[in-house]
Amino acid sequence: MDTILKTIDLTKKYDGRTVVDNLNIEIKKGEIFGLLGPNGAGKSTTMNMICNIVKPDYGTVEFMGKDFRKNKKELSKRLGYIPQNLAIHGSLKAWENVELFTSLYGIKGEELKDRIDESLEYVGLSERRNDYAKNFSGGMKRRLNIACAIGHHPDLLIFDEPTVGIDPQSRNFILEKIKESNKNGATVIYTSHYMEEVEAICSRIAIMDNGRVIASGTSDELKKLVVDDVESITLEEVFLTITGKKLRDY
Amino acid sequence: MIRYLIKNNFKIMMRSGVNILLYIVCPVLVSAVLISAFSSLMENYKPDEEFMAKYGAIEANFEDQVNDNQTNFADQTNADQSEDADQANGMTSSFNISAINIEHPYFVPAIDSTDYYGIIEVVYFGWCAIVCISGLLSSEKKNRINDKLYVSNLSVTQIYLARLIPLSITCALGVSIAAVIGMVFMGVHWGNLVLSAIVVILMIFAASAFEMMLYEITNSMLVTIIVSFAIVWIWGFFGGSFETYMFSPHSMTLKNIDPIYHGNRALVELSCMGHSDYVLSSVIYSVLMIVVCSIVAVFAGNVRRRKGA
Repeated sequence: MDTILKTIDLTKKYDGRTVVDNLNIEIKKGEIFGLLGPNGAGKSTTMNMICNIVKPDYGTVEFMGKDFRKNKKELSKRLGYIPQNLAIHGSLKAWENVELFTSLYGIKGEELKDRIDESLEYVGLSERRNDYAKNFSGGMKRRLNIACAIGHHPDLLIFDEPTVGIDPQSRNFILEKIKESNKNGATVIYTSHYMEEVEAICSRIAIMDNGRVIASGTSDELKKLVVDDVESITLEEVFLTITGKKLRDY
Repeated sequence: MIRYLIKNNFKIMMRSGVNILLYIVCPVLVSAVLISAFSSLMENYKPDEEFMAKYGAIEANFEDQVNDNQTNFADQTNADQSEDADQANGMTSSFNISAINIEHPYFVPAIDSTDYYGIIEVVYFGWCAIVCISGLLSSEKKNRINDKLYVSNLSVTQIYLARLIPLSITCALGVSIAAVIGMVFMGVHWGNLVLSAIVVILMIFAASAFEMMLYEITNSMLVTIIVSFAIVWIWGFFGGSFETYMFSPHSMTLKNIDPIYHGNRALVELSCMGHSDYVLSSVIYSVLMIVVCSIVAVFAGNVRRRKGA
């Protein structure tokens, strides 16, 4: 498989503390890549650097074989970012939110209208397109958050904890949609604290701690780092064994 | 690319009840209160309908002199008129009048409290533009919407314009409605409507740019509102937003560096005279503010973006 995204010695410090430390990860085209780590491990900072929200102190991000920072104009259209925060406006209707974010990628006119319909249909909000986002439930807002990031048909989708604080039905729906997007050709980077989610959808997983990747592989490969019998241990137990049980108060 | 962003930001601002209250209801209410409170004070500024002018006579040859302030009665007809006027005022004119100079003082036509406060308060609320966009900026900050704007490769300048343009339009629409209400229900006269509209709209753009610049520098809506309101209040204090600039004892230097003074004076004079020398200075002041504040705002935004804040 071709590499779609690669970080080379990615480093970021805040107030003298190294948050991401010479990070080297490689994501293959067509995979769902899970990024796990305790609070303060550097996952969100890594995501922000990959998405060009935060400038790294050192290192580069290669996206589609090119330096992302130097080819932002061309490559940003190929990336879809679903942040942990609900990046939607409550006082806009569902379709207006999708219109706003999809239009940022140069889509306009009839094509934009079609993309809005398609995105809302995809997340099951077509019937509520004219409702204000502030009146939506938590799960609906999460789905609208996704609709706002997929309208421009990105090649790489980055989900930063997309299932926080929602009911099991909405969570299941979102996970199904992520798998569907992947089947349709999108590569996915997925971060979450829910180990069962990561285990269920990710083809490869990296565990981060203190700004570094300390283990990576498939779910079974990670389990084998701890025990031989992969059926006898959960991913969460592996995670706790590798990262330790000490509380992370960042 | 930012057309839809401008459109949706505009919708967000237009849907805010606070904006309707601040830019339509408040100017009308405050105008009504001040018009009523200062009506007797402003009456004193009106000239008497009939007034007596005194003149002096000087010894001179018959000269044909006309300048800005003086008219010489240089022929017999005018001399006769002045003699008649003398007698009518009970004065005896025993000397031989060869020339009489009558001064024509420059009178600014009077403005009453209805026109003054009906105009000034609408403008003052236009200077409080930042409140109009506070809901949008708070939502952007709380939901980290800027991150998504950055991911889409929008530049800081584009994001700034996508805020400034709808902010200024929304604010201008609000105060325009307030102005129309004032005209229809309180009888406020704006005089030259076209020039007045240009002055007001440019001032609102200037106010928006100035306050957006403060926001970009402070990155805090609360601090921006406090600082903006304090500065606008000071400008309003010296510029005639509370006490009329005609009666205020403040120095002309303070007034001349005050953008609100230039705007207020231009609008008041347009109302009562139909023209004003202050239109040009107000327009120049506003355009300068828009350009300088926008440059500083974009610079501050770029610095913050580079830091990844």
